[in-house]
Amino acid sequence: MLESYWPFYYGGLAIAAVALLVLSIGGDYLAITRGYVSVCSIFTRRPYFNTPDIGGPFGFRTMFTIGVVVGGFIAAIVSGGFKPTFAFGTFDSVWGTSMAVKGAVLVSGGICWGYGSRMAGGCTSGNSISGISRGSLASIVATVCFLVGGAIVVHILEYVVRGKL
Amino acid sequence: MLRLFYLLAGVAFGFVLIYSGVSNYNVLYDMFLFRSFHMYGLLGVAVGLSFVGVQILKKLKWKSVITGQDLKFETLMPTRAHVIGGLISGAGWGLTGACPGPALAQVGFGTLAGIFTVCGIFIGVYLFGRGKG
Repeated sequence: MLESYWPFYYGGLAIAAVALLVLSIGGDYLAITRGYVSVCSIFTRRPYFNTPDIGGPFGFRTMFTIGVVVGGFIAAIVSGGFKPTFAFGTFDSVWGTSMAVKGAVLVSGGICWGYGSRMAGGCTSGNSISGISRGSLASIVATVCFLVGGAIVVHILEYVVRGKL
Repeated sequence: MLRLFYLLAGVAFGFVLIYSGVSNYNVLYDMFLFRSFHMYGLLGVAVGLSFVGVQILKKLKWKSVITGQDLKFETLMPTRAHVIGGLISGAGWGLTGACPGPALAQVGFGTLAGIFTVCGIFIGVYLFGRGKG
């Protein structure tokens, strides 16, 4: 994990810049979980994954999803080289370094993210950035719930789970 | 053209997600314990500037540079799904310390724990879509 990251105002500026470029040039909003849906459409013909706004298998949203992984790789190269590791910072001091525990916790958390964000109509990009920027009340509610849900879980991790495993 | 643009935009987004600190588990953990202002400041700036930008594009009746189509500015009223889905997502955010975008960026960066998160997100998205038909 990169430890010397930009101050928050540069980070916020850069994220807004990407969101606005995607919208003004590409014509559609930044929405990462739709990218996951479009990658799923490569493997399934079910109608949910093949609506026109998803862009089809290997469509523009799949390209965006691949791009994010490549962007992370370039950031690694620029910041001192690609050094793959399963070490995960504070996570390891809360849960320990067992691979089975790490996999179980993160896959479960991922399932919550995937299922919940499709139910809520988007994740942090689709709701918190794109939805709120259009003035959508639903996205404001979803964002508050993201933060409340996360805060509850991490408080449990810090004050109940940590040090008990 | 559209696909090439989105590929490059994705690269830019992935890079930014690493360099802005949002792909760092510790930053998210401290955010949710209210020990760090970084994420709140970042989200505030990102959301605020995006809001201003989108409202300007709306005023200008901007058309997509690549497709030439009008932009959409649909808004939704909140429903139970936004609350329940939002809380479930939030639990996922707390457990993984990464949003769906940063989880992908982690994989590229070499933070391999992100592979588990990404796999979980695919399973969750698939399960939801399967339930919808």
